[in-house]
Amino acid sequence: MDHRQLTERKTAEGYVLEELSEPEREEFEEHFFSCEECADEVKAAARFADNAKAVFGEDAAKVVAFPKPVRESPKSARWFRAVPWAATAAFAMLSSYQGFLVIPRLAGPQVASAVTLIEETRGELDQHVRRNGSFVPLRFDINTGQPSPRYVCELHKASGALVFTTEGDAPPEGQPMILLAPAAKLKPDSYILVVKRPGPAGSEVGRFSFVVDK
Amino acid sequence: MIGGRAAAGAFSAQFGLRSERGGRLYYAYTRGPLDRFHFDKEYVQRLTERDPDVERHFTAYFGDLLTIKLRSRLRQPQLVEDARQETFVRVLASLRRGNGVDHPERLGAFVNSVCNHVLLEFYRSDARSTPMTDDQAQPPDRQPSAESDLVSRENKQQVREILADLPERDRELLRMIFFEEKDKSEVCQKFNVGREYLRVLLHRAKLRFRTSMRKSARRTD
Repeated sequence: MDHRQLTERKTAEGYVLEELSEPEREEFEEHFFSCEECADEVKAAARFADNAKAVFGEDAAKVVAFPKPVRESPKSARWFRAVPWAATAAFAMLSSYQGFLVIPRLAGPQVASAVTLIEETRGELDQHVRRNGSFVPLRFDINTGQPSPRYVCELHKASGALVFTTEGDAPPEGQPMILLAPAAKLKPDSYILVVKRPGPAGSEVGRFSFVVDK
Repeated sequence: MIGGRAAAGAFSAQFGLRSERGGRLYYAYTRGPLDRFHFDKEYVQRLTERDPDVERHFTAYFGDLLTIKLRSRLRQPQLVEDARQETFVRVLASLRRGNGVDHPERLGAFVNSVCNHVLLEFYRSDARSTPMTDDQAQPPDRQPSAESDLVSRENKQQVREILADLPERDRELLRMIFFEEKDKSEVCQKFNVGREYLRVLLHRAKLRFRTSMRKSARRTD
């Protein structure tokens, strides 16, 4: 393969975008394993793509601490009944909780049923989740003798592959945590949600398995 | 499974490489052009003689390339890691037996060739042990692992800044391609751009990213 032609055609980008045919892939691999310049191009493009995917994943999945219930007056009770759940949670957070996070891409009111996940330690569980709307709210308790101000949520497929990771403030004591998982990333499959303390040595505080139904 | 974890452990013990994460090889994070080393006769000689600096460079340089190559073909991250380890074990063992490369500048091609053989064996082993059914026929999972050498907090911040500077359309294009993994033809049609535009977009973003990485590397040197 002619190096100059490969560069002009942006073959490294084509390789990372998986636009090359199999013979082209093999030929390009044979080239860049011997060409430091092209190897650098491939590494940079792949590194950008992977980190972009991680960034998009963090932005799409936001961990929301479930707020303390707002004291209901007759007027507000009517209001809560009238407004869909997701918008209700957003307004309740604005009014009663300091550490709320802006939920991106929640373009309008949506109705969603939160699924309560039970931890795996309580025996084999058969928890099923259905995808309705843009987000799937997953609600779970964090049971630990050493609470952390923030937690990391990692969603893995049962095979071990990471789907996304995100981090958020801990909920008030006694309250569950809610992860708004983007429905687009929850294809029908088995998943494991791992909740950990932040940091490279962050210890695990919870593990929840569930199945997304077709 | 050929080699795999057993190979990794044997590799660490036999070749004396510094290892972390429960015995797995540690790959130095490559931030810029590796102009300290050239794949010449001296390099191969020092690699054969277990020079620690050369070994670190070797695993760092080819580690990322092997990951990128393997994950497009193997379904599970663990298989990618095992194949990578096995490739390194075989390459170094071959060099130290004197069966290595006749031309040192072909070292990279040799690594690629060994990797191809390892892949073939993995395919055969996988086919024998796990018969494919229609339900199992899924494309390789290319999700970046939380422990992937290609994803780091620093890189994510650099990419975040680059993405923030992009026009909304380009940012959305990249999101649909890399995060939502939509079909590229459909995405191009939706945004009324040609397939070549995707390469140009990635090319420009990559250039900015590489500049940012090199600046960062200079700051920490």
